[in-house]
Amino acid sequence: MGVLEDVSFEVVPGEVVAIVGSRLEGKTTLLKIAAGLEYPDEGSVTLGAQELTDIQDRCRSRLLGDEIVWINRDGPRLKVKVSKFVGWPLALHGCGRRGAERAAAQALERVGARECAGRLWGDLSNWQRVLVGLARAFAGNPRIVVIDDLLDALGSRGTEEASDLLRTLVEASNPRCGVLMSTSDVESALFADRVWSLTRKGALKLMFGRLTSEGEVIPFPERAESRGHVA
Amino acid sequence: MPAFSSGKLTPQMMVLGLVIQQQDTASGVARRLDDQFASARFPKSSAYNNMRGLAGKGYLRLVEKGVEPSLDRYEATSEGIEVFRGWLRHTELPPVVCDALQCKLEFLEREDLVALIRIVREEERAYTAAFAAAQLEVKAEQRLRRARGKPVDFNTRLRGIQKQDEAKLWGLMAKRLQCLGDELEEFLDEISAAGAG
Repeated sequence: MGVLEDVSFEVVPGEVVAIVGSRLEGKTTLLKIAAGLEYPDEGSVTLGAQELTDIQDRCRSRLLGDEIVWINRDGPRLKVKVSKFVGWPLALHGCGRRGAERAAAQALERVGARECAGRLWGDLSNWQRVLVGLARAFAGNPRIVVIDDLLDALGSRGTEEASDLLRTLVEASNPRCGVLMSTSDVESALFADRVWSLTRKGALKLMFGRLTSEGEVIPFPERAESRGHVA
Repeated sequence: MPAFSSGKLTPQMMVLGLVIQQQDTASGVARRLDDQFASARFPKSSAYNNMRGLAGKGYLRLVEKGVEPSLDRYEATSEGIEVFRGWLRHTELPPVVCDALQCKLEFLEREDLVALIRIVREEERAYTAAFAAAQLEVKAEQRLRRARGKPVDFNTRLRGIQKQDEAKLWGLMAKRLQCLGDELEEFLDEISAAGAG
């Protein structure tokens, strides 16, 4: 039996999709497969018309950091300044060192984290890491941003501010990109357009939104009938 | 000294709070109780019974006689306001979980397991639908907030926090029921396999 079974979902441009699951339920594995960082045993992952599971590693590496951006809480493996970390994917994809530096500075400015440019990841607060992560994700023109657990445990206010910022960045992206994020708490998923719950059995259950971009909105029973009881 | 100051949620406290918010009749309070605290599902008779009780304790006073008792108009007394503030600022400790499923698990026999799994799944669907409905409101509030920018007034901000908290409650319950359902199904598989072996 695999960790994940019969998992199928999509992220459309301009949309934030959240996967909610407890630790060790396979959220990161699912996101890595969606980002093309890992192969599924069966099935396929497509980005637009391009099948990620079929293309050669060399082509896939070109997509990663350019059209597909992965961010998590870990930060850079090497001890580099934030400005370099943010501009790195652009430098690797033909932007040139100077161009990457400029883009990184703009990206940090856009998220309100200019003061972090000369600092190391390890010296940043949790909130600054969120800002820097989002700056890196949107420094270029990604088609999809995959965020693993970065927005967890920010508290109500932090979640709200991070979600507003994420929404602003998505709306400003050109071409419009989609966001796939994982979280272990429901709170971080409150502002997503679609919320999937990952079950202990490795399946996905829709909690909010449409099944597919063309599909029906999940039916909401009338308020009186739909509400449970909180005693 | 106020007669009671427990942090426990009762329809009586909600009725008192609603009359403090504005003078009202039992009929009006019943409507507001249903509208503002829909998920608590207070009994329909809560407003009428509790207004009479609260008036008897001196926490409400009659300001206008109606054509029938449910249309009598009341306002809160200063003592009533003091009692209500005491409740509002009182801690809810020790923690209380009054959960029917927890109690059913205590009494569960093997032959009830399939039925319990079915009701857990039904409740999971209902709570998920409630989460979805609350999340729609949270997202609508986010759109408004982003459109008008900060700062916002006290009441608007407070309602936003309340909405988010409500959505979280439904979401946490839905997720908890999903996990419980999965665990009970795994348990059923285990005991069925053990029985077959």
